[in-house]
Amino acid sequence: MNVFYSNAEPYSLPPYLHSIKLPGMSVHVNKEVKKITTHTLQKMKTVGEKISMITAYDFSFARIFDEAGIDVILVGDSASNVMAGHETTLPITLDQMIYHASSVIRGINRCFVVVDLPFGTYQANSKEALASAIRIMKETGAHAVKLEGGEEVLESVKRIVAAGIPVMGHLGLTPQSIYKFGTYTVRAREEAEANKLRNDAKLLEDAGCFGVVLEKIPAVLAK
Amino acid sequence: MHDLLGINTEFKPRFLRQYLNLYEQIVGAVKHYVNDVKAKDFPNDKEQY
Repeated sequence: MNVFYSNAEPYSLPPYLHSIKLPGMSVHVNKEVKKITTHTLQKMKTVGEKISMITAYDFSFARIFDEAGIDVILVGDSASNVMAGHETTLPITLDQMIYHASSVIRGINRCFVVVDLPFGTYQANSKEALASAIRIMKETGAHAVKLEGGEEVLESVKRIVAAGIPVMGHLGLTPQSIYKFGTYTVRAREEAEANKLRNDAKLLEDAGCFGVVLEKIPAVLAK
Repeated sequence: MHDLLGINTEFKPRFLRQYLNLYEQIVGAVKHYVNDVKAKDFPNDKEQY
């Protein structure tokens, strides 16, 4: 955690205490911690370095994952399932996502943090989508947002990117649409759906997304 | 994270590699704690003020 004690005690302070100097100990905060940014991620992609990503929903786990060297933390709307016990990701609210995301942010030092826009906070129109993304950035301190869909949400993606907020796309099995699919099986096996996915990925890239989650699709299609 | 660490046990898609079985380990640890409390082993003299 980039806190070094002169007596080398294997204990690290949470980030919000880094500036506190304890009696009898010299606390040196390493200023050289390289925070992961969209720029870093782009460079990793260019040199072929794989990017590690994991979900987290709270302070304690975020701190553990940051220390373990994870590159990207996704504050997923799967909090709806694993934290709240709902069957789908649909019920979680923007306020609840903000609570999780701000907790995660207090635990990290180096990780890049992406937050899911929950169901119902961006589908209506691009103005609502931008307002939701701004709330996340302003109230949590996260670094990017993620939303599900391609062409259907393109205008929203463009508007959020234009406001200076990095956007991650999400295609394939998009759990917020589970009742449309009716099943959690592999997506885009059929040629028509595969074509739409290819087209959507291109549109998202052109709209300025810095990355995209391709969930549960054939590996050859992802390439 | 819950899948990778084995906190969930029912969700096992093919794209998951499970590195731990935290569910079992935590149940085991908490059972142990409950037993220690019931047996009046915890807290002992050194574990209180």
